[in-house]
Amino acid sequence: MSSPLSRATTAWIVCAGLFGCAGPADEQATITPAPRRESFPPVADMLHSHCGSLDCHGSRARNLRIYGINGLRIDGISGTGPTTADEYDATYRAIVYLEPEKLSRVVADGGRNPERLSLVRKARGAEEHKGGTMAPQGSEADRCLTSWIAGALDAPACALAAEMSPPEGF
Amino acid sequence: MSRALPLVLAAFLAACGDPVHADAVEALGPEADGVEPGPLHRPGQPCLTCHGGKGPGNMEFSVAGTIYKYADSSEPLANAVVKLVDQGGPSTIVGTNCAGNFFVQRVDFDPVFPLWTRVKLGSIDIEMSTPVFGAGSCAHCHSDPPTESSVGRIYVAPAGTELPGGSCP
Repeated sequence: MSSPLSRATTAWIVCAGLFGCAGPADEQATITPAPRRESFPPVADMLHSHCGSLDCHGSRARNLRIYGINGLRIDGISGTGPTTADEYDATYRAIVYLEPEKLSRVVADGGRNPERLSLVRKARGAEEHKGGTMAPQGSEADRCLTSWIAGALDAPACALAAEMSPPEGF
Repeated sequence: MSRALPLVLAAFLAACGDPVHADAVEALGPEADGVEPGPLHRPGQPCLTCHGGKGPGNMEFSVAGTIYKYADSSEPLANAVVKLVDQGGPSTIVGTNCAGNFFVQRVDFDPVFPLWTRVKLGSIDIEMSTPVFGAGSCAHCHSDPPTESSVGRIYVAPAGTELPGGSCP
């Protein structure tokens, strides 16, 4: 018993409702301000060596996935070929969309009090983390991550932190 | 009645078990024909699924796996030496059996990760390029075939390399 007008109205309401509920598509989603993607690869390499093995954040079972040469690959076989731009992109998205609003606030504050982020707290061992303390506060790995968030990447710290050496005598 | 309640609750919880673990065990499938449960069984499988402390395997392992001769062959590497060194420095050495299997009981070595590993056999001495961060089953990351989530089986030499024999009787 509906008139053409009421059908159109209903359709409009349904459409508006659908658009209203839908989030932005992945490629359209933005975080402002966000740490820079351009300076992310050294940070990703550090994260990969500390956190991205196949038994940790290189696992598809994890919501924070880190992609790279010796771990999870987007397309290909693990361990073959260097980390690709697509993999850096995927890891970047995994990092910045963990706590987007908090991350934006930290970035806007020039990187002050980065412990507001779960990522930093877990890496420092200040919050429950199955992998334990991977980047103690003040370590090269910690400086790498927090300097990137602050917009002043400490590239030498990233390079040092990306190298993981076995104990003496191994 | 009040005394019976904890027992009833315990029985209920025991009956429920851990469905994720049960599924993981079931997914391993049956034993291979002619191989009894023991040190030689289930090469290449994630040992700690059953031997990680939740059963049904009796022995609890901290690290265990299978070493092969070549990437594209299921020939086991017997008599190799596997060295494991943990973050704090404690280490252990264990050999592979005729199935290529090795295992370390948790009572003997309970590593603090990350864990560095190397495999030796004669002049072959290979260090794993990345440390292990938490999985005691080598097959967790070294399942075959290689994929985006696996580097493939652990092997020590290119195909065609002469290596000592050794197969299970």
